[in-house]
Amino acid sequence: MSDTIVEFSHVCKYFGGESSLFGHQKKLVKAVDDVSFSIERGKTFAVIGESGSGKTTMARLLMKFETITDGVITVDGTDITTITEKQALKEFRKKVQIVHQDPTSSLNPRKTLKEIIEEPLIVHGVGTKTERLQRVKDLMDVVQLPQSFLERYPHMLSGGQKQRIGVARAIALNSPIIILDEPTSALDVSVQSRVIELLQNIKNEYKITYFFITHDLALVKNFADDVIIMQQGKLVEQGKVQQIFDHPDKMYTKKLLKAIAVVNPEEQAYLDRIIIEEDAS
Amino acid sequence: MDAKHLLEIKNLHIGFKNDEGVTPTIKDVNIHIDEGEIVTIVGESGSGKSVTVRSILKLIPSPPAIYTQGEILFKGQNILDMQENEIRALRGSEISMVFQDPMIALNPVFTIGQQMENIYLYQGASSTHARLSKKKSILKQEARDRSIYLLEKMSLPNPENLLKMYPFELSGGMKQRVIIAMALIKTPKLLLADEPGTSLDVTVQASINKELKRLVEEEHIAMFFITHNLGVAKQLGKRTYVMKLGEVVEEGLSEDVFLNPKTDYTKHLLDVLPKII
Ligand SMILES: Nc1ncnc2c1ncn2[C@@H]1O[C@H](COP(=O)(O)OP(=O)(O)OP(=O)(O)O)[C@@H](O)[C@H]1O
Ligand SMILES: Nc1ncnc2c1ncn2[C@@H]1O[C@H](COP(=O)(O)OP(=O)(O)OP(=O)(O)O)[C@@H](O)[C@H]1O
Ligand SMILES: [Mg+2]
Ligand SMILES: [Mg+2]
Repeated sequence: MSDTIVEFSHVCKYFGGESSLFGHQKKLVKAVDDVSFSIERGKTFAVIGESGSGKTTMARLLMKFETITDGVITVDGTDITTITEKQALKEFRKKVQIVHQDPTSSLNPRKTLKEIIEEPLIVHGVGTKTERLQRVKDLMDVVQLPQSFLERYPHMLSGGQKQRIGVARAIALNSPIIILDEPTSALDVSVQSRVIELLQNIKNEYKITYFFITHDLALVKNFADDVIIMQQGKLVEQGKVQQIFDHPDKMYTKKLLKAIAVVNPEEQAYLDRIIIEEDAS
Repeated sequence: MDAKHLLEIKNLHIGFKNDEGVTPTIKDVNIHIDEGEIVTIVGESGSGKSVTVRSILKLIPSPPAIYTQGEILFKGQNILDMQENEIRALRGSEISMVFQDPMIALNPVFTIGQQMENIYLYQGASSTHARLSKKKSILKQEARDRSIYLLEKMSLPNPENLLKMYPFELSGGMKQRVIIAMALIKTPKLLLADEPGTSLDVTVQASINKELKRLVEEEHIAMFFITHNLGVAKQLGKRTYVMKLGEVVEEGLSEDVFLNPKTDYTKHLLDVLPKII
């Protein structure tokens, strides 16, 4: 039987729409519009969609960084809007961490790598100073960076190395849910493949659930178990990754598949076949 | 045979000046393109793709850039020996370019129509205005016709109306299409495209690439197309150059480079590419 860790039920998030002091109405943006899905524990759940389709907004709702307009989000069976008491909120924050898209702007340039990774541990009062240092060192091992880097600053690292620091920081608290907001889109393919491999190993070892936001369908095919496709705040299609690739149902999904630029003729034939099949039906 | 090439970069070396001296950045690069040919350049971040292509119009200021050695022959003439005014005459008319960020190329205070007309009338020394003793009103009409034709070719709906619009009224995808149309308005011999549209939605980017390819082929314009995406490179270019750390490590017909790579580096790039089956 399935073990649901996160559930979105008719979730809406609207921005604007309220009248200002002078009676002008701000334009209403339905960033997330009646979206429902559930995520199984230990799976990689991919969110695909064009820019502005509401992907990051969903992630922010899941972290309780935005208030929900309508609908319910549950994490481990608890409606997260009911979590208001300070200590409970802190406990909740420990559960959901994020790796941001741009490794350069998401790491504080004035802090050493040690300080950056240690920060969430301090905020959540984890361990003694010595224990924290040990944890930071272990995390450097997990993300395959030398411990000698700990006194360095972010600008002294390459893009791929910075993203590893982002990963180390996100997994520092053993959070069961990690949001990956386009974790590799700023990276070269070879760097990307190493970061993805790292994320895959970490997931297998610690049974983490990933909420994986991306533009890259080929990456989804290699890395994710389930996928939802978003367009203008609406959920267009959802399913197992293999099923979506084999039998895309909606026009937008087909367009996305068609837009993948592949190198091998076999891959091209696979894409062409899907499209022709679907067009004929 | 050399004279046949529209553009030929020979033994190019470029360094960047800094406190410690000069860092060699482009090392003995040899690249050529023929009339009407589409050639892609791939390679990882920092491998020198942009510096190489921008050096064609001497767009990288010197200093810090130092052209230590080599030639860039356009129709047999060395661009590196040209005066600034001669190079300016090439820019936008014989050789034009489209870059990654659609915002910098458009002037926010003029309409699309004004900007396209301006390029048509005044850009390049052999500008249409200077070359032909036509009346300005006739030239303006030509500029308008050509603009509408190109915007239509780039699948932009209602081009007449678009000419009256300002950049901020357009979506990212529309802007990118307009910039491509602008770059082609003088029917250049060579178009330099440095990762156009990478900031756009994948479906939009895919259709823009298709339209761009069709258009340059129809007008027999040669194009260097820089990309990170090996799949895109294979779809677009007849030939491909693979760059690594400032050097060209592999070149050939795209089919060969991507299906039977000769160097370990290209093999590696292909190996790490996520496959869909
Ligand atoms: N704080 C906010 N105030 C007003 N509108 C917002 C706010 N945050 C997001 N939006 C709007 O909500 C919509 C969805 O934005 P969101 O950032 O979730 O998109 P996205 O799918 O993550 O896009 P991208 O791929 O570009 O990151 C957009 O129209 C955006 O402009
Ligand atoms: N103005 C400059 N001063 C000093 N070094 C520079 C300058 N411009 C580029 N470089 C260096 O030249 C090298 C090649 O850069 P280039 O921009 O050509 O890479 P690229 O292949 O286009 O990479 P990307 O895919 O990231 O755009 C890099 O090491 C870069 O740091
Ligand atoms: Mg986003
Ligand atoms: Mg570049």
